[in-house]
Amino acid sequence: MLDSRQEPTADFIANMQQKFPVEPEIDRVLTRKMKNRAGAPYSPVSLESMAEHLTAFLGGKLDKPFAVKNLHWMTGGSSKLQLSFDLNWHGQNGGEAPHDSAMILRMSPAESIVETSRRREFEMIAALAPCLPVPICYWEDEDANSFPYPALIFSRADGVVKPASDDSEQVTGLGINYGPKLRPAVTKAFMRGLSAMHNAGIASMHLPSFEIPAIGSNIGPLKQVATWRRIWEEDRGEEEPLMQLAAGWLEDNAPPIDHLSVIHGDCRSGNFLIDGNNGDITAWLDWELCLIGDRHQDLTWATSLAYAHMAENGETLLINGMLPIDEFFAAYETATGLTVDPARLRYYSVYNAWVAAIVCTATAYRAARGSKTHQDIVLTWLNGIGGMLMAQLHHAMMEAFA
Amino acid sequence: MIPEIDVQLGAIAKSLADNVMPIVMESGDAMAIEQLHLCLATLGIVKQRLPDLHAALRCDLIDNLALLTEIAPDDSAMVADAETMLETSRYSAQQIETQVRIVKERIAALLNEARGSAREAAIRKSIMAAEGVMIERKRAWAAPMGFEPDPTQVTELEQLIEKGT
Repeated sequence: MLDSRQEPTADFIANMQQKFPVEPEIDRVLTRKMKNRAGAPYSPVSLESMAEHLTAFLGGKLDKPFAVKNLHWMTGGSSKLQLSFDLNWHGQNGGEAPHDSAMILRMSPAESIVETSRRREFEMIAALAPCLPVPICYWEDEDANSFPYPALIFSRADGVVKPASDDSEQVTGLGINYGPKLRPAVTKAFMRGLSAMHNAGIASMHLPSFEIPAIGSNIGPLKQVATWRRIWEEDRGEEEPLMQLAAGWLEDNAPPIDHLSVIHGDCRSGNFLIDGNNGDITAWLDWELCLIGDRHQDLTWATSLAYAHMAENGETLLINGMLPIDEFFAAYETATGLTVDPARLRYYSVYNAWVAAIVCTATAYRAARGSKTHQDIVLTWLNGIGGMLMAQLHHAMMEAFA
Repeated sequence: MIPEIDVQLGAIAKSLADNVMPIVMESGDAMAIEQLHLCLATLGIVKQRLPDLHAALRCDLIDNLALLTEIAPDDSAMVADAETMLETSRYSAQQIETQVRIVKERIAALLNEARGSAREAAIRKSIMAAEGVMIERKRAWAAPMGFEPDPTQVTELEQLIEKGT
């Protein structure tokens, strides 16, 4: 059976652009993905080569002498290549005494489990820095002028993804168990973070690569549906009638936004660092799916079964490794002062289950099929979560249709 | 006899676990260690599921064909192709998989064609009803991968295949 997605023609790409109107920066990134798809697979970049790229890049940014030390590859995540290094420098404006700063270079592979913009990530992290613990963003190279692929450089935060007591070996931070001692503190810090994001003063944030949807309109949510419809059409290995059914329902039922929020987009345990001693969140990470939208998107994303686990009693399901679901929503309302609307929860439960299924069954498959990443084995492993995500989508739709 | 794939997969896994893993562990290269663990786990799943592949795909074809027949009884050519494939043992797993994909494309196209029409609700109902068992098989297939928070809720794949064929 001919797979038109593996070697897309110019007509196929143009048809996707025309059929699914999306935000301009997202269109640019998705179009680039499709134009590069038939090209070379990802081939390992050596540490020596990365050191040369990094030194040349920094040379163009810094006037004073600098030195890159302790450069090494990092593990974790299923998406981007990450290198850790220490930069001995005089600060970004050159006016400081020489000192070491711990940094991370984050770079997209040839294709990824989510194809996103390093520029949007950079802008959002920088904009949130005054109100949320996030890394310091230094530079981005979204156009890959200096690095082999689009890249971002930010500070390396202290903290751990999961406490030492969690001995689960699942990939990419799924089902993290914070343990009964740290769990309350992590939950409190998580809710505090959601409050900062969902109550952020968006009007005063500098976000040129984002569209700001209008309150009272559903055009923003509809554009998000169009984005993921397009990704499904571009990446899937086979059609799934349930996915089309969900897409149609999401278009027909998109609710108007009642309050604008910064949406993390992958808001869950595993995407922030904690202080292993007291459970406080030291840094929120992985902003590549961020957007301006409806808070219920983040709220329901965290409730996926993929991030839940059973409590010590073996009976209570802890959402996001934190609380039973009703208590989770109640804690959110208390922390944020924002309401939780059951109708919007239902909508975004379908939306998020649908998006997660697209990521794991379509894009993960496509990137691995083209040998496009450094983590193809992780992507094929994540393919296996597809059945559970489809079950979640089916369940959410049953409730929506009821 | 031709080399037995199950034995070959077992030999690869043993070689990696006994001889390659200790060296990689000693290297301390975190990415290499993580990826080798995943390679071994993936090999284990492939070894466990390979004997079920043909039967599982047949179940998928049976269920999707039933769904197509329900929502488009006049789609006789495609239904005939799929029925022939089910009745004849010479078709490979890959051929059955291709036929499953053709049928699923057709079902989705019928749904999209019916958008906004009186038929849409009936097609939606049929899809929702038919998907249950197909999703259950997908979950069962991947259950050994450890993603399920409550694995006791997932039926054994062998039972589902037995029921489906």
